[in-house]
Amino acid sequence: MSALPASTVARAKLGDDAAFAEIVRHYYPRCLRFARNMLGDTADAEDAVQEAFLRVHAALPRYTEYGRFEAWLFRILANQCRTMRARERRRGEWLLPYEPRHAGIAAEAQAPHDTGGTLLREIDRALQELPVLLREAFLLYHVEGMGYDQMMEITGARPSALKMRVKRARDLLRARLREVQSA
Amino acid sequence: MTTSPFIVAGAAAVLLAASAAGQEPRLEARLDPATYRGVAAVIEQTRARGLPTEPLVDKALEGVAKRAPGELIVGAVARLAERLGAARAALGPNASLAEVQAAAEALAVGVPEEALRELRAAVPDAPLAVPLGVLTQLVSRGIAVGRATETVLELLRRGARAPQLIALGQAVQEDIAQGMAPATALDVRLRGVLGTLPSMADHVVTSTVPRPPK
Amino acid sequence: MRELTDDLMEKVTRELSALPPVREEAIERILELAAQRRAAARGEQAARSEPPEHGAWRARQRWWAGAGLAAALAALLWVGVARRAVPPEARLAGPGSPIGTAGEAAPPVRGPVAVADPVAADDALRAVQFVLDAPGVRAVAVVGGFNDWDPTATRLERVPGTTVWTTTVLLPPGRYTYAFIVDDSTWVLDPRAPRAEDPDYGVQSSVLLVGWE
Repeated sequence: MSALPASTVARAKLGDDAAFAEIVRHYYPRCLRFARNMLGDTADAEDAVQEAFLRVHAALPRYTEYGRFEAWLFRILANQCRTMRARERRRGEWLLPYEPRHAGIAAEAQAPHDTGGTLLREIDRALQELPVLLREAFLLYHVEGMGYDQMMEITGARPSALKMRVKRARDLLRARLREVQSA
Repeated sequence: MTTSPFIVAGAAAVLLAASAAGQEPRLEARLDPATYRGVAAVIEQTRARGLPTEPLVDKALEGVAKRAPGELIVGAVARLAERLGAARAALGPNASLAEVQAAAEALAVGVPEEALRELRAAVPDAPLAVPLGVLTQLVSRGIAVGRATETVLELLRRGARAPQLIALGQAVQEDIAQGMAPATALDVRLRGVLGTLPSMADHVVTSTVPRPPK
Repeated sequence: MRELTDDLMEKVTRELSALPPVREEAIERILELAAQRRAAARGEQAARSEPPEHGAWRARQRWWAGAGLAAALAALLWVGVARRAVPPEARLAGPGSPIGTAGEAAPPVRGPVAVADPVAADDALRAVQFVLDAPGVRAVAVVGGFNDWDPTATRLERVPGTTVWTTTVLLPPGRYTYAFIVDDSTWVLDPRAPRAEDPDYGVQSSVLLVGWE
């Protein structure tokens, strides 16, 4: 996905509402995808994304990024996801009920060859079972397609630690999914 | 066996050249090795041409602070080195470090070399660092290069001093920030300053260099 | 696919990469809430009983007295502060923004003030005061050509009882580009100073011109 022109962020910084709206529309789908994958629940994901954009909006006029708006946005979003995760754990809802990722999944599940739908459910469940830092690193690297430098800006962890987390996440996912599929 | 003084001198020269890479400890501490080598090479060449190298160190450190990738830093330093050479050529060999730096900044925003020569010729004995800084400021705020150059030239010929030039630059900037068109802001503030200066007839400074085309 | 060595992981990544459907209402809600919060913030500031510039001036006066500088400097500072007084909205929004101009004429904004310093031993140096109003931060530094762009070299101090950070440096005449580094991590432009474009690195700085009398 192409980046927004730098002038859009600059305009939003100066209080241009239309520019801020452009930013939201441009990044919303990817943010929602990341939050949904992190939290396993669409409603929670929408809440997290909303709060992240509101924080960005409040901080925009005072701060100037090093030209890395996307990393800043995802840093705020990742923190929101971690906060929501912690909140749910305290509420004792650690085991989230499974929820279909897309409206189409329900239809798929009833189709004769519904292996896609089943696999998706399993992937989702296995992903949610990963420790949050591993899940976060895996998603940023393999799904959001970010480099380790950008991930360092987002998570604060060094590239060496991030590489280990990504690899560990892959190993755990692979092991869990193979276990599920052979059952 | 005694050591010939020539061998010692030769060895010292070799060591000096080899240690050229270690002459910028401020950069070595903050740049990765490959970037440092690239930047140090430009600095060495610049030093060999008798040009100031401190602006190059500053440009590299600015890139570090702005988290720019190494290739960008080397490129920026190389372009600045070229501008320093052009600036010194335009202002003459007696130009001060501050003047050469200010002229390089003016070149960076599009002020042509002829304009630098014209400014030098207009006031050969006056320091040009502040006039050049104000010129850069005016162009950066949207004033056409030719108009900005003529304005600064006229003010210098009429005997305007640094504080008046700075005040003009600041006032124009504030007017533009308040929404005034750049050219209008300059016209308005120029009138104000010119009103306080002696007229051209009282001055004997003349320029033999033809004015740049508008 | 990146470093994935088997079909399973390829499938995993493909499934997780599908973009979810976006509800337009969710986006509208964000924009609506953002506008509401900004309006609320403006209302709060207007409701403050004491004009911020007076409070800030008194705070600066205490700070300078605490630093042991002469009363002459305090008098000069009053001139500098009075020129620099800006409404709170402009502080947040920066020069030329719709917030600063809506409903009231914004006074001219000025960058760091070069204070004519009668006690300076070196005629060529001028005292320049940097100021940043930054609530809720731990640390503020200023970087620029005058300190090798080193975020550890020139730290600002918070004026007690306020959210304003400040420091004064001695600078020879010239044109300087600079920026604030907040919490050792964020590049912040001076809302009261003009900006310099950066064709070399693409990161704007603030600009200040220091002259001589």
